[in-house]
Amino acid sequence: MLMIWQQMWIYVAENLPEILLAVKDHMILLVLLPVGAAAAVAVPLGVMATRWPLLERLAIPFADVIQTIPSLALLALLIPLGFGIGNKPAIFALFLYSLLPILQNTYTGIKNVDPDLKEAAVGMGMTDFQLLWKVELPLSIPVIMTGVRTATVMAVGTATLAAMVGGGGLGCYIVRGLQMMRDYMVLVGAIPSAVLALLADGFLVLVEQWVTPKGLRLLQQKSQ
Amino acid sequence: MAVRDLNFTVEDGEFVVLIGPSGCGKTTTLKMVNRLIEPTSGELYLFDKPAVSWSKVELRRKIGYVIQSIGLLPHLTVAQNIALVPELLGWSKNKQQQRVDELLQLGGMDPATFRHRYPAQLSGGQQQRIGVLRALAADPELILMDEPFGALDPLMREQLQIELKNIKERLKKTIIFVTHDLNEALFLADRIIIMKEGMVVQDDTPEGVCQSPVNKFVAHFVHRALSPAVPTTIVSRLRPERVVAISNRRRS
Repeated sequence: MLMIWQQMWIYVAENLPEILLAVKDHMILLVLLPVGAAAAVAVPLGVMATRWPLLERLAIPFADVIQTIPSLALLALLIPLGFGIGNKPAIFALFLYSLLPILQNTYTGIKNVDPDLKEAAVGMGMTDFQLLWKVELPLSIPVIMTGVRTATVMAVGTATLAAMVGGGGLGCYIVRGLQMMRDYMVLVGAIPSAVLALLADGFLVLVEQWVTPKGLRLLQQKSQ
Repeated sequence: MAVRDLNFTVEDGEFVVLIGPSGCGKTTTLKMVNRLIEPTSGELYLFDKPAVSWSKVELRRKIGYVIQSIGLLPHLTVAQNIALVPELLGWSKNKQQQRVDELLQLGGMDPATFRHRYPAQLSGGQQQRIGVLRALAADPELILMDEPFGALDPLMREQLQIELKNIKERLKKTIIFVTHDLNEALFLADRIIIMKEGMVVQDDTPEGVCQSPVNKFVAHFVHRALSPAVPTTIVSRLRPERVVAISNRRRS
């Protein structure tokens, strides 16, 4: 048992720059980029789904279906669909995966804003856009951010599969270690990705608190 | 159908109370005035123009609106909540702040203390006070109030009723007020419209309602409101003649 840790540390010490590069690729190329893109698509889509019944019936089931496809299968499917091998299919798959939690939370966040509050706002003369911008979105921020957090944590884990289709990231060490039957190399990929998932989660909890309007935080504290 | 047969006019500066048991259509009637609910038939005139000729948004900004659940926006400060309609109307920040301070003073709340507080930092009574001040903010000609004090404790309710009456007398606003509490109606109203099952039963002054109820329903309604909290059956069981008898014996 001691052997494997020693081997791991030796490997890390010898390959540190490369490992750090893999961490960077993992977090920026395979997490930040696809989750960011998913948020940019899913938040407006979630908002529109609360406005247009047709989109409400299409968008959420669509995202649901994507979510049910096993991640490795989705990655493999994207190769013949013109994405080839490498990071490209992985980024796209992670983007698709991140859509649902963000879409779902945006949609429910807005739908769950107190109807009395909405009626008061409309009754005072807000247009639909003002209702969205001044009432519904600020009050849904915590819920939307929870969706972003779920998507991010999932992406950090799922991104290790990118290596299976020739992509980069920490998954490379896992795949290489498995192929070469070197357990310590598997750990070089597995441990940092687990730690990164925890760190990303903690960081986003802080961001969530930071972006939640102060009055809303006070209300949450009061109701606890 | 919540409202079936309704016909009334509210004059400038009048305080009209719509009252009746739950489901009588009083809230529906109120929401037809600011067009949150559209009538399926009939005609509605607001500020001497057909309601449909107004843009909904423009119309609502001319009408103050206070609801039972208060509806203060939790993420906005007291000042931002009060200045909501002025903000929508595009008033300058300066003018907004001036108006906020003026109104807080009118509501007996120190502007420096309360301006920057959030609704979560206020008591229920204070919140509804802000709710009323918010409705007054853009100096609307008409204010709609839907059971505004219904969720408050009796003491606070009474105090806010008195304050509202004072405000009304000072500002000469037209107010349409919905309640199911006849005592509240008698205290506040210039005119009471009693509704039942979507129809007007009696449209009269407070004195008229009490002294000449048009039917049994109104008479019962008035009797229940004016009699003490103890039900009449229990009062009769006290048997006053027995009480007298005991006192006689003690005297002898």
